[in-house]
Amino acid sequence: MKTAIETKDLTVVFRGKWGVQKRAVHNLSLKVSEGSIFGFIGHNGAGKTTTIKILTGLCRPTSGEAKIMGISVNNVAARNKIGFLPENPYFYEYLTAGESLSFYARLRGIPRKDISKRVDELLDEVGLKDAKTRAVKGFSKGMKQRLGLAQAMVHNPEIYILDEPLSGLDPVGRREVREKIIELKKKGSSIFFTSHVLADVEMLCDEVALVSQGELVSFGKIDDLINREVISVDIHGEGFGKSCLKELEKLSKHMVHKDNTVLITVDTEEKAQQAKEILEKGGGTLRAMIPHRENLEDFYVRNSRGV
Amino acid sequence: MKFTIIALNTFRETMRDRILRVIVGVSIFVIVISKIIGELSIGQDLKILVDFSLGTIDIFGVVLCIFIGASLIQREIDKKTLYTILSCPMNRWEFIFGKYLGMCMTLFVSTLVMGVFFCSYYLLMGGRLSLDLVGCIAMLFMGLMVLNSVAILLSVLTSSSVSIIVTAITFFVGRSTYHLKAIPQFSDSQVLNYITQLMYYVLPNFNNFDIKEEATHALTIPGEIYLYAFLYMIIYSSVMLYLASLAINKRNL
Repeated sequence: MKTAIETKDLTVVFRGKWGVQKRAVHNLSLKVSEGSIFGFIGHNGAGKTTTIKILTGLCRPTSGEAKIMGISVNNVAARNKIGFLPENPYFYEYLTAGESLSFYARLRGIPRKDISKRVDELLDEVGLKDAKTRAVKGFSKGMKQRLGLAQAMVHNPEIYILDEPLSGLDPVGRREVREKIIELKKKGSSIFFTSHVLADVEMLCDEVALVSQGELVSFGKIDDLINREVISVDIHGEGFGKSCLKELEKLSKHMVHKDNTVLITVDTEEKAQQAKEILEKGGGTLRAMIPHRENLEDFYVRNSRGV
Repeated sequence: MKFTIIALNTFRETMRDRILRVIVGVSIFVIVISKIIGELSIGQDLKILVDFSLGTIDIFGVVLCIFIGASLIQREIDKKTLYTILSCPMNRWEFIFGKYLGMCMTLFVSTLVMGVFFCSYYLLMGGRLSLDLVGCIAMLFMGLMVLNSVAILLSVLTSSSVSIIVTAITFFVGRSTYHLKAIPQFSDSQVLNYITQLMYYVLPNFNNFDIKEEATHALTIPGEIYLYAFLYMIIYSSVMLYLASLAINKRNL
């Protein structure tokens, strides 16, 4: 499989006031396969946005290199390949949604005769058809996010770089953007995106990279990174005799009981089995037994440094 | 030719700016009342009308340049509108040049509106329009193009407020460059002389574009004056825009 995005020993050092140096990204080496969805995660200030700025030509790397479809990001031609949605996208507020998209379409080199049709298609796709003639000034955060997505899609790029595409959206809007990302992948595009909503990242991504303090902590396929063994089991029982409460408490990591019901959490499947037997011996009924496996959030918490 | 798209968009942006309408409105009002002020003099009312009106077109153009032009780039950086634009396949110099051209188009339209109003009003009041009077307005516009290039450079280098202040200072010092050149005649300080000479050559000389006095007194202006001003405008603006492009190229956004 071809490589859509590649960074090699990428380092970015910013010089602040009084010459104080701040390292934003350090020796970051990544490969994003063509046609995949890639999640780039990390806490605030981990270097995600700086990396994105390098990929989109807004920042220059101090050392190392980054390539888009084999073209150096320092080459303007690399930007033909990407559609970029910045975090909290900003637009000229005096322009209408239609005018904004026409402006980006012209910057992207779309022939003049095709612009109007393309703008209408995009506004329809992101649900802003009725806002075509409204000034961006009056748009909600969610509407600006949709418009941002539309401007990234205006030239049907091969690669989408989306910085927090799900932020500011209501649940319906989030679902629509998720579906749009999957649709873009089906069309053959590669998607590189950052998000703090790890459930979405886990749901959408083929691969993830976790960065912390500018350095790559983990990188790979989600299934390879996450431990899929059971890490805890929740047991919900009721109608038991009081005598078994003490035994359950000994087994559990955490226990809550009220009147005739109990909710306990144990850390192995064996202990869950024992708890079930204790409940049944005590004349109780097992209502639910829910095993928990590690998810991306657990992985994130386990691997993030200095958060 | 991405800069043409940026230029047209900047033109649309600045034309929709409320400051522009206020400034052009106020300048037209000043041109109208200059005739009334002129009537206080004896037989000089038309001269005063010309003098006042040319001064108004000049000053209000400068005010536009300072308040719109000097924050043009920094506003894009602060509001982050630059992110989606510079991630398009476009060189940064094209962005700078486009912004400059767009602002020049706005200055052209505002100078044209003020100029056409003044000429019509002057004719209506019994004045005789000469080519040099029109040339004088064109010269003022060329001066604004130079000031605009300075404003664009400062807008890349500093914050909007600093850029506005320094652009204004540059204009006033640039109007007094003859005084700068004269300082060594009165000072023994080598350092001061060196600094003033440096300022004389580095700062834009807006006197090159100022033929208001000649126009007011209906004096004939030689063609070389226009040619020299035109070449000066091209060279000085090019240097400013080149420096602005270098500065934005080095800048991490």
